[in-house]
Amino acid sequence: MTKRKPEWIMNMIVHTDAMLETDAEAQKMLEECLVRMPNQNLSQDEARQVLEFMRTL
Amino acid sequence: MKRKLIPTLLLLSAAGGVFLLLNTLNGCRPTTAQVAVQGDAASKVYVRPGAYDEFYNFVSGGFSGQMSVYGLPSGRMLRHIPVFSQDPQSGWGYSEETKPMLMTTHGFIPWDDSHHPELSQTDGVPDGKWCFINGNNTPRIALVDLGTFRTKSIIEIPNCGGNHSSPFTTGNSEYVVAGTRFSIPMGSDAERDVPIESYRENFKGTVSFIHPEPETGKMSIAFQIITPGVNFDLSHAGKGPSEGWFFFSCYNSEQAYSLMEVNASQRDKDFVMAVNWKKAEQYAKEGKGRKVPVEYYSNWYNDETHTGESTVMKEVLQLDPRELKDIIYFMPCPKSPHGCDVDPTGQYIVGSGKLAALIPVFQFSKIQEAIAKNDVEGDFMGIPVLKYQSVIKGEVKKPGLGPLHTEFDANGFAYTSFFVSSEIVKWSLETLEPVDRVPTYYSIGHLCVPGGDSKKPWGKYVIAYNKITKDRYLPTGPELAQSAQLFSIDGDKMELLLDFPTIGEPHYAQALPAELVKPREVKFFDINKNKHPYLAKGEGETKIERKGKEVHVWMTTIRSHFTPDNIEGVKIGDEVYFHVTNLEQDWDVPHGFAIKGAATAELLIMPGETQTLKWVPDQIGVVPFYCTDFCSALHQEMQGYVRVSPAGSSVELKAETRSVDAGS
Repeated sequence: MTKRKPEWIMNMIVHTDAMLETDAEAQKMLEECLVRMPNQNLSQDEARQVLEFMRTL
Repeated sequence: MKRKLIPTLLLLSAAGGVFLLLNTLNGCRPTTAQVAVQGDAASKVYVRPGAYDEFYNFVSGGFSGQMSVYGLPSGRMLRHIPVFSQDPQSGWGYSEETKPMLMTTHGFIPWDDSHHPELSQTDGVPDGKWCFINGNNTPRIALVDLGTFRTKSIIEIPNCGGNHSSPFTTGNSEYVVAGTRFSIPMGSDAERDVPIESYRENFKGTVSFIHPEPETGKMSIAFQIITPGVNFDLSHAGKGPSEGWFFFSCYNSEQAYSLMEVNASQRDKDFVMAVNWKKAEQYAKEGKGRKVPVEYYSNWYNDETHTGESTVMKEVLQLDPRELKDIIYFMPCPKSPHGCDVDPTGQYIVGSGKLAALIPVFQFSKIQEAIAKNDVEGDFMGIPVLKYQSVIKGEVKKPGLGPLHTEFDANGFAYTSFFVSSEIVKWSLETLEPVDRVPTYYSIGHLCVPGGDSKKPWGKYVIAYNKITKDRYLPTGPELAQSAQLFSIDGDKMELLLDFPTIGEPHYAQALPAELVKPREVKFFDINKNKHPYLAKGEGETKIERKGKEVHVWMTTIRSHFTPDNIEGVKIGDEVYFHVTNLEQDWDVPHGFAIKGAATAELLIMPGETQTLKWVPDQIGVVPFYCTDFCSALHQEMQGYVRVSPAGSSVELKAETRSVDAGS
């Protein structure tokens, strides 16, 4: 199972569109899913909470 | 939202690493507007005041239910044609004469979802006579007359759910097709009232071949082919060697009926369905097939009586390909195909799979060979499935993400839209290699090359129709217009020239040189040909008559007065019909009609035309009416009064326009 770096996850959540444009890993996922991850407009705090939750998985 | 990326380690625990230091980017695309548009784009799209555009561009209104017309290259909107939706501005679907056009077996329906305009063709080339468009929700096809830019006829499609792969024309518009998007159970009440999970056993699709009468534009259904329960997305007719064939893209070969997003995306390949309509036509002529009883409306607007006529049809001829052989074949096509496009030579059929990583190009001569040799990989619900490798010329590899739709120029190139990677890719039909790509802003759906699906494309431009506009224009709250984007394809590389917002959702569009349409423009209706039952051919023929509870007023308009403009004797409980004839016989002199408190829209009456507004007076007193469309210097003086008396009153029925002494 691929584990992502915390900063990568933070950028995906907080800067979704920019990541889909420029990040190779994000673009690989886009090729696979063929759906752009929606930007949910989370604040940095909220994004951090999601990250901490993912850390527990 | 513009936010700087977090540049520090402060928020992180011991995992280490830094946030990427990205530049603040605006929107979704790295290139700015200045970089994307080169050189003298402005001069290539500027049409100076008084001059005309080169092309008419007919664009679907999508969820508006209408059709819009733009001039190219300026992108100016010329007209917003009401088709399936009521249009209060013109009285379409409100006047007594136009209401029949929106009648269906479900009653009067004030709206639909119009996706694909398709120009009528002669010898495989758009001829500027008509433009067809489909109604997706309550399956229908409309025919718009390009002499008057008005909806001339609408036919309801029976045994159909979601008319999406429609309307697409044969080379001489002998037929336009309708194909079901949502397969449904058909037949008797018992056959239709089945559990949804019995989809595989009971749900079927149909493709219908509709014939428009060349002289009148009246439409009828020649025959309907029953198909397995898949979803039809788009379609195109063959041409040249493939003339006599039709190709439909099919998705949901999984035959799912819930959570389609996941369940209809399982299989690697769905299908392109090849239909030998010439053979089907032959079977129909021989009296084969079954006449199935079913009701559907065929509505037609009579330009002499200026009235819509509804006919209820009672049966449709159905052909079952399991009994009548050799009329349909499936060809595997990756993956959830959308576009199904035939190149100008008619030899190549391009299937664009929404979830595919490549574009298959089918070759008609190979399809013929495979059929002759029975080169099949099995069957699907009793229909032969041709072997994929035997019927393709090849595949365009890794062209982009999410191919949707392809059109062609006259030089052997194809232009495919990519929704997910938001771009247009130009590729060679010979080498199957991409030669150019341009980003679209944003998320292109269909594209249009003038004549791009015909035998002889005019080329010159490719127009992208984009779903997302986000930051392209001044913001207008949460709801934004969709857009069209004009590229020049004159040179080797595509060049962005212009973009402009559109009405509704521009799913698809067609364009043709203005010269093919301009000469046939009707400038006004000849009043001597007017056969409306309540025509008043001059002020001398105006009158008022009571028929029980109905009061009929024969009225005329001319700059700048109504005749009659003083009416008395109307009572509470009456239904008043104002039959208004516009006596003008010149171009661009419409008159409007509105009366206070009427539960309907205005009338907008063209010169030589008669239109009727039905009014039920509900308050005692004197009620004003007036002309709503600025017609002259004294337009403001163009008004009238109706006196409404209590029910049972004995006020005499009177209607006149008279001189009033100014007094001294």
